[in-house]
Amino acid sequence: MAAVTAHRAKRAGAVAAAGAVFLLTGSAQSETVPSYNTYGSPGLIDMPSAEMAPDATIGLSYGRIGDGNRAALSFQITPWLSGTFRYTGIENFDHPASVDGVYYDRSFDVRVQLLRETRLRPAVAIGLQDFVGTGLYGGEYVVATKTLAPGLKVTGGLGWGRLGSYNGFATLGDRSEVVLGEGGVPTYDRWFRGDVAAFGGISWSPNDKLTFELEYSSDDYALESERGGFNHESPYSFGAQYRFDNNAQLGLYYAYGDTLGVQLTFPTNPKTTGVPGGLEVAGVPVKRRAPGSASDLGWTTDLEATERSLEQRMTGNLEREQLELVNVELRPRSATVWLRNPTYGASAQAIGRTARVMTRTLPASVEEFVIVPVENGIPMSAVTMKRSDLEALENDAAVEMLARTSITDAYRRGTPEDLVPFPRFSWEVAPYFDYSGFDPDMPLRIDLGVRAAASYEIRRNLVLSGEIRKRVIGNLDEISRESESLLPRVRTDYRLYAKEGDPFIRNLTLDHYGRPAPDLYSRLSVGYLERMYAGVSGEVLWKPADSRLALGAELNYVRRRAYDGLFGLEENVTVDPVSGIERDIPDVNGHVSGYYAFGNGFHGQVDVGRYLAGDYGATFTLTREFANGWSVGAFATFTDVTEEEFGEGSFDKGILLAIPLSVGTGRPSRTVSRQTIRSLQRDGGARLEVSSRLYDQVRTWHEPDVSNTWGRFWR
Amino acid sequence: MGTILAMNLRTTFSRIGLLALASALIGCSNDPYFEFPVQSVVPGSLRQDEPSGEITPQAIVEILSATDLPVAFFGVPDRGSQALMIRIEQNRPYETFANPERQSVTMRHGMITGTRGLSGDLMSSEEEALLALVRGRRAGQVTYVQRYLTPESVTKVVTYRCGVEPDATVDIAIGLVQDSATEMVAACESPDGPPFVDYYKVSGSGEILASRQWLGKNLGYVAMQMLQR
Repeated sequence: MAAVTAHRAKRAGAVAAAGAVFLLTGSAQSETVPSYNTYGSPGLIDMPSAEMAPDATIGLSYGRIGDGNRAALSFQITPWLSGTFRYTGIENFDHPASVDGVYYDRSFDVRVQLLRETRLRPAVAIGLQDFVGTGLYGGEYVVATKTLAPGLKVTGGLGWGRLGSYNGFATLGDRSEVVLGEGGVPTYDRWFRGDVAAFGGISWSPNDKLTFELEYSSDDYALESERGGFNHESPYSFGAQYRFDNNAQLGLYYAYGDTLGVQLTFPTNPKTTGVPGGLEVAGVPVKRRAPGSASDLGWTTDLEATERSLEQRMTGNLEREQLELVNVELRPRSATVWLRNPTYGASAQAIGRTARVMTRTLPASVEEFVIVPVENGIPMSAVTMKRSDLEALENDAAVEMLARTSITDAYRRGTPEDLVPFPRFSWEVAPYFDYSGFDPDMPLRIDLGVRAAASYEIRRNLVLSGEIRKRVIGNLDEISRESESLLPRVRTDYRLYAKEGDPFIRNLTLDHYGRPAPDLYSRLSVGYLERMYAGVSGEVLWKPADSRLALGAELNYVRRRAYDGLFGLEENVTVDPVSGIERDIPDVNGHVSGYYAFGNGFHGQVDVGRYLAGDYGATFTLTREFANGWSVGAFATFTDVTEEEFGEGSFDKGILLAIPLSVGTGRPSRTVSRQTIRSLQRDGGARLEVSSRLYDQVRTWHEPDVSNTWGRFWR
Repeated sequence: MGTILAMNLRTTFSRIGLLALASALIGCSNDPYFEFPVQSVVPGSLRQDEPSGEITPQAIVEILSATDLPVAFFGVPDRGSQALMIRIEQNRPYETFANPERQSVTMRHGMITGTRGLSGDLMSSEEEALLALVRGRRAGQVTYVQRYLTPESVTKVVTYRCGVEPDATVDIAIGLVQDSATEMVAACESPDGPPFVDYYKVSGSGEILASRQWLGKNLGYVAMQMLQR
């Protein structure tokens, strides 16, 4: 089954430490994870190889050669395509941008495997290293790797740029030295140009744990030798690598005849990490009706009394499945259950457990089951199935039941009345963490604290909710770096919010949800929408229940919030601390969005519109999603702000990573930890953050998401 | 006296402080479905439920005197866990057995066709052909399919080719089940999973009274003995 899905983070703020799962779980992977190099990609010691990690592998690496520290996050995007994001800090580096002698840089790599290894043929890959931005590590390569005998591999390749800097034997045109834009744009004017040099090496693994490596490098480390303390004595490096039981690997090397190298990588994989099928208890089995009982309509003479006793039994039965009955409507041959799912990340599992409870509680003549999942009081879809199919297919492959289930729009299937009376109040207190990365003064700052959230449902689709946060320990308030912005300071004033807001109200909004027409969903939010902005936000979403495509529109009217994060509002005017120039933040921003599930787990989103600073443009997002709630993606925003106006980085871009809580616990959960890793947050292409956007709420109960989680229908 | 009281007060206050800190760290809510996020830091695989230990003869006597429903014993040697389950539901030939911990095993004439709540569950199987040979105590070659969920929650289908043969005849006297049975051996292979050998003890009426059945890499072999039919 394909794997497109999104599990809504019900309490996006609650998700705190799920990211740490990463480091601890590791995983038993069936395919072998190759050795990583000090750049955090599959390779030898400092050089790349043509190997690919198993599909969907996420590698978290630390590497060091000489004074250069490299932290990398790599992702095997498809079996033949991988990408790496790296953050580098070179110590003792003489550069105007160095802070206390440390030069920081971010880089992106991609690698494409052109040929897979066969018995006779080596694997062949082509790659771009540090291909965006200033290109400190910029280099391109074509490389081949062949396994000669079990455990013995040879790698040989040709490098350009940095990888063609030692002992080059040919030159292909001129390699540009100019930095395009303000950095942060692809360095296409350099690729595969300039000197070409050869590199290669051998790796030998006598057993599963140990690997010995010998490498001939085509990198002469000219920049590090010139500006830092590097001493290139020899092109040869060698070392050994140890693989731990959880697949983590540690390599130690003697490099370039004069220095030491180290590599530590934690691979994990959304496809193989976690408890298969989960640890949760069994659902109730289907109760097959006695033969002939289906024609007994005697109970319909007192429909109301039957319905009342049914409500009670069903509420109790669903509670044992950790589901909530909103209401049930009984007809002689059909029944509709409105359902709230606070528990299951896989929508099909919530539907399956409810259907089984229905077989045990409904009168025998009821043949048609309709389950209407409800989010924020709004019916999301109508899942219709036949009771006799449930009885017949309980012990068959789950797809058999899927083929006999229909998912349609639930417009006008609003609940008759909630069984649990309004208003409803819920609250929670939990820890949180927040971070800020890539500040040269302190590459990673973290706050740990306590968050208190509450939600007050006034009536079915009208919710007042908010969250307040108090830091316990942390250093986010110590950000001191001020940089000039040529735009209204819509995001670059973050440090003032971090400094003065403790405690702060993260959000406090009154949200109204609606179904204005078939296939249409609406939201209106008023209040403190996010940490930096208050205002009004309205959204409509068009999403047919069986469609891979959704379209949405959002319009916002914003007021800048006071730095202390409490109730105060400021004028929409910012003053640049460097230039002293006052600029206006426009009151109105908004986007038109298109969402499309391509299949095979790939999901695309395009948002076109006006951003916070008044710039117009579009954000492109491509995500690979997994049925269990993991997702890895990347986005880039292009607006009418010029590269000079935008400043460092040239345009807004970043990486998205979502890890479901259930990976760590093995228990079902709708909570997903979502992180956005931005190499730099500037004021161009900045979008308002609204936590209650519709798409994820709606798609959970639509195709193709329901089908993608259908394996859990009988779980 | 005053000092002692003061000290007590101070300790009380520091205790309250600690409690407050602890509760803040643990997290709390009026929501019955609230999840404590930091749980996610400890991987589930490290916190699998304690092995439920050995089933005592006493426990078997108790359960058999408490119910007239079919009762079966299950053991998962790889996990060192055992359980007694009572039949709670029947759907045509499929019988579902469960324990109070809400784990369940579904069997067809004593052949396990699915489990729930054991972690790494067998979700379903295509056992028709294999079951026919085993119940008929006949030799032959059949196809047998097991379905599992991967950690990604995608269904993994493993198709086996099994050779089935009858072995010795044995007498069975476990719990309240006394019968003579034929031992059946099924040796299965698949390109998608490890090979295994299942044993079934089949009564003259074609019911499996005891077995050792492979339920996939996560559960390994599971032993079943009917204690009451």
